[in-house]
This record gives sequence, C-alpha cells and structure tokens, in this order.
Amino acid sequence: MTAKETLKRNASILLTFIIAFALLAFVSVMKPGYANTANLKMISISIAMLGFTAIGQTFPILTGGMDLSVPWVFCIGAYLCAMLTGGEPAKMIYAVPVVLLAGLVMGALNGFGIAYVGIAPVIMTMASNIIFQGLLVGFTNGTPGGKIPDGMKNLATGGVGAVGWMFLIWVVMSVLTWVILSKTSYGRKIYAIGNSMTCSLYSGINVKLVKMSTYMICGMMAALGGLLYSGRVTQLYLGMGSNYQMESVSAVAIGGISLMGGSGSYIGTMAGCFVIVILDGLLTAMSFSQGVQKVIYGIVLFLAVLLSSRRTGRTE
Amino acid sequence: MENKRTFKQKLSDNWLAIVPYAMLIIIVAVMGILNTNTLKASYIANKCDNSFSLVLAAVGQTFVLLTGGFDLSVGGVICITNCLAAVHMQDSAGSILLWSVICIIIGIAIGMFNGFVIEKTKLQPFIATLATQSVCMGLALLILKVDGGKVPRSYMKALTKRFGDLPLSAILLVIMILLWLYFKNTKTGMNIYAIGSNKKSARLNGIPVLRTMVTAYALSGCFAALAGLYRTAVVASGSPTAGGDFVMSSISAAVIGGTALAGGSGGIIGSIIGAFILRYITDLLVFMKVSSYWSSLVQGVLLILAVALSAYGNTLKKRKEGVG
Repeated sequence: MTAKETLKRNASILLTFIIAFALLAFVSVMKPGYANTANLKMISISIAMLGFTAIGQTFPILTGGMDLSVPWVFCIGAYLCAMLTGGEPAKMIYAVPVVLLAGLVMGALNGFGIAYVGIAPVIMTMASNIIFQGLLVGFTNGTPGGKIPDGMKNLATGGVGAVGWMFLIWVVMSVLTWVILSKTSYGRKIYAIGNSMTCSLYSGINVKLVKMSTYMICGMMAALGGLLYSGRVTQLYLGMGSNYQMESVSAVAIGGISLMGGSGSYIGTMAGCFVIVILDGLLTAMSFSQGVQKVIYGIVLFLAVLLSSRRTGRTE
Repeated sequence: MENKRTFKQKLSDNWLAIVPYAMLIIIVAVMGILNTNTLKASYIANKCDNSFSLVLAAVGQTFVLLTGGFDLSVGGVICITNCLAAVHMQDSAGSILLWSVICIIIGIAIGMFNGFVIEKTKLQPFIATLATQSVCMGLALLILKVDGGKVPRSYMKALTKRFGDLPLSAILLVIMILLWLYFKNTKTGMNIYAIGSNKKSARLNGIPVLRTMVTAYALSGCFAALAGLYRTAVVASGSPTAGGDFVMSSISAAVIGGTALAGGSGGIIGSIIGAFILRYITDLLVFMKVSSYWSSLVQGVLLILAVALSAYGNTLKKRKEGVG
C-alpha cells in the first residue's frame, strides 16, 4: 500500500479528527477563555473516560455485535473499588485485579449467552444490563457507599499541563488496542467474524470462543472505566455509567466502524470519542437549553455517522 | 387423518409460539393465587388500560423488527406527542381531534423519515433512529420543560371509558388484532416479512423495498404517536422524558412475544402478549413481596430465559431442517 492509498483510506478518520478540532476551535472563539489549561485537561479526561468504554465497545461491534450492558458494569466496577479499598490506597493492589476480573466475568456471561446460546446481542446485553443493575441496587439497598482512596482522586483529576493522566493511560491502551486489532491474528479473526461468520467457521476459527472473548474484553474495559471514574466523583451514585451506553456505541459508529461488523479502524473510534466529548462541552458552554442540546446532538450524530459510513462504503 | 397429522406437525414445529401465552397464563394464575382480587374484572380492566400504551409501542416496534430493523425513536415520538397533547389540547371536541391528528401525522412523518434515510443511505437502523430519538427528545423538551401540562377531562374520560367492566382499550385491542390478521396477508404485509427474511432476494423478486421500509417505519411512528396520546389520557399529564422507558420495553415485549430480531418471523399478537407479560410481572413482583431493589434483576433474568428458549428452539428447528 502506497502512502497515497493509506491517506485515502484513512481520509475519513482524519476528517473526523478535523471536525473535532474545528468544534473545539469554534467554541474557544465564541467563548474566549474556554480553552484554558484547566478546561482542556477536563476535556482530555472526559475523552479518556468515554475512550475506555469505547475501546471495549469496539471489539463486539467489529464482530457484528454490540454491548449495551456497559453502564451497570461500569457502575459495579466503581462500586467494587470503593467497597474493597474502603479508602485505603494499599488495598488497591488486590482491588484492581478483582474489579477487572468482575468485568471479565460479567462480559463472559454476555458472551456465553450470545455466542453459545445464540441470543441476539442487543437483547442479551440489554437484559444483562438490568440484571447487573438489580444486583448492584439489591446488594447495596440502593445506596452505594464506600470510600475512594485519595490517590485515585489525584490520578483521575490530575495531569501534566493540559493533558490528564487518564488521557495518557488511554493513549497507551489505545496503541495496545490498535496493535491487537490490526497486527495480531486474534484481531484478524475478529474482523473475519464480522465479515462472514460462515467463512470464519470454515476457515477453522473458533467463532464462538472469539466472539465470547470480545464481550469479556468489553466488560473488563467497562469495569476499568468505572474504577477510574470513581476517582472523579466525590460520592458514588447509581447511574454513573448511563451516558456511556449509547455514547460508546456512537463513538464507534462515528469513527466509521460499521455496526454490521468487519470493517473500520480503531483509530476512528478515538476520533469519535473526541467529537462526542468536544460537542458535549460545546453545547454546555454555549448555554443552550437542554432541548436544543439534544436536537443538535442528534443532528451531528446523524451527519457524522453518515459521513464516515459513506467513505467506508467507497473504499470497499 | 391427514389433517390430524398436519396439526401435530404444526404443533411440534411451532411449540415455541405457545410459550408466551403459557407464560402469561402462569403469571396471571400465580397472581390470582397470591391475591384473588387480581382476577376481578375491574383489576384486569385497569391493567388493560395501564398496559395499552406499551402494547401500542410494541406493536409499532414489531413492524420494524419484522423488516430486520430497529426503531429507537419510538421513545422520542412518545415524548413529543405526550407533550404536545398535554400542552395544546383544549377541552373541546374540535381541539382534541385536531391535536390527535397532528400528533399522529408527526409520528408518521418521523417514521417515514427514518425509513427513507435508512433505506437510502444504508445507515444502520440502530444508529439512525438513535439520532432521531435524540432530536425528538430535544424537541419534546422545547415543547414542555418539566413534567406537567393540562389534559382535558373529556379526553381522559373518552379514552379510559368503560362499557360495564369492558374498557375501551380492550375493544381497540381486538380491533387491532383483527386489522393485523387482515394486514398480514396483504401485499404490504407479505413484503415486510419478505424483506425481513432476505432483503436481497426480496429486492431481486421485484418487491418495492424502499416503499415497504418507509411503510414499516411509518407504522412504527404512527403507533408510537398513538401510544403517546394514550399515555396522556392515562397519566393525565405530559412528560418530556416519558418515552425513555418505552424504547427497550417495546423491543423486549416484541422479542418475548416471539418476534425475531433478525427479522422475518413473529407478529404483533405475540408482542401484545409480551407487553402484558412485562406489565404483569412488575405487579407479580410486588405481590410476591420482592423488594423493588431486586425487581430489575428478575425482569432481566426473565427476558434472557424467554429469549434463550426461542434461540434454543430455532437451533432445534435448523437442525431438523438440516437433517430432513
């Protein structure tokens, strides 16, 4: 592939990034002082938070599935962290693995239902979402308590200059994700399944296992997102992850990954995260009413996905 | 003799279709044992009124699911129509009629837009209707900022009317089922099923895919508008967030009722049963003294069981077809 071809292929992603920064430029012109260091750091952290869930979401969507159980896995991740540590930083040593494991287990439940039982992904994860909600609300009697270690707060809100620590963590994990998806055989298998399940099966891919594993990754990332998010809030609350259900799917779709699976690049998802968070900030900064915000959000989502899916279609 | 065998065959092929009915009967029976009041006509009439909005939304959703699509904008349409009716309707026959018609037209228009865009741009229904949903909910917030509004008394009375113990909603339900039985065998009805089973071959067979898709989504929008209008009468107020709950529950109701997400199989009668199951379950959990904290867990498990059963049934069917 020549450089020109590479550029042509990734023009859509580049354009999505350009849209994101144009939005940011627009709001900083309209609202002088908006783009100060503190605010940019906030934005970078928000991008990272959405980014963690979007990394996870990318995997099942590439196989042609979807994970709608992100919100409550996210919440359980945050709650487990608070419960296990009780505010003591030293206990993070085992709290982190337990949270990640919990995410893997919840994802495995989704994956099992979808890959082995044959339940449609949307229904399976929608149902498991309310099951996880019931579990968390039931066990905590509706009031999740616990304390988050101070170190977590520094990690979740601190950073260097205009870039949050979380953003840096996200970038590192993004590179890892990109390598896994485009340079390993596991990644190629995921794309293959998204393109044609039957072909993948006849090529000797363990379709069911790979499919299940994508939901496990998604569950783990959602739980990790919750864990890191817990440092951002002073008090844990139910419904912390609610926004990430549709936003993570939107980020992936805006990035040009087809919801049918099998095509698109993770880098696009990153661009999608930028667009969504910056747009969100813009709509709040311009002090539009909530109604206008939703209308504009819907229109931009529609146009952005339209734009990126068009281009994916052309390259195929 | 031959008839008997075909009936038996039919039963063994379609035992899955009976599951939702059996489920509803069991739930109603258990509730009757726990609290005999629930078997009284007045209770059932109330339940029918309270479930009817979800029934309408689920019926609309079914048309879209049958084509293999999704309609998340159902919630948005319910929000808009609920708010419009609560804000603008005056207590006169003319105004009530006018605003009802406006709401239905809005629903149909949003549905047609969805169908047209999805077919023309090949956008995924999930993401396209998610965008429409956001726009609709925003518009609803512009019409009515917080819960409230005033609903004309005569409107409420008319839609929750009782003929003896028979509620109007039950009569509408029967009419709807009769219309469906007719619609199913019309050209458009068949085309919807055909597109859901295999879009490509439907197109190659000369089925007007675009027109049928627009019709299916328009029907969904129309029924969502009706659901919003009916909710206005039952709840007696408007809410810009009223529709949020209807998105997932309308899909759940249809799926519990046996409509496949992949499209091409199912029907609205199952969805009606599914909607009643969902509404009855919440009551059942209350009667069983399950803490409200745990109720969502039970609902989730139930949904998975219902779907797992039909997934299992499909696998069996496939295996059978593969062998024979």
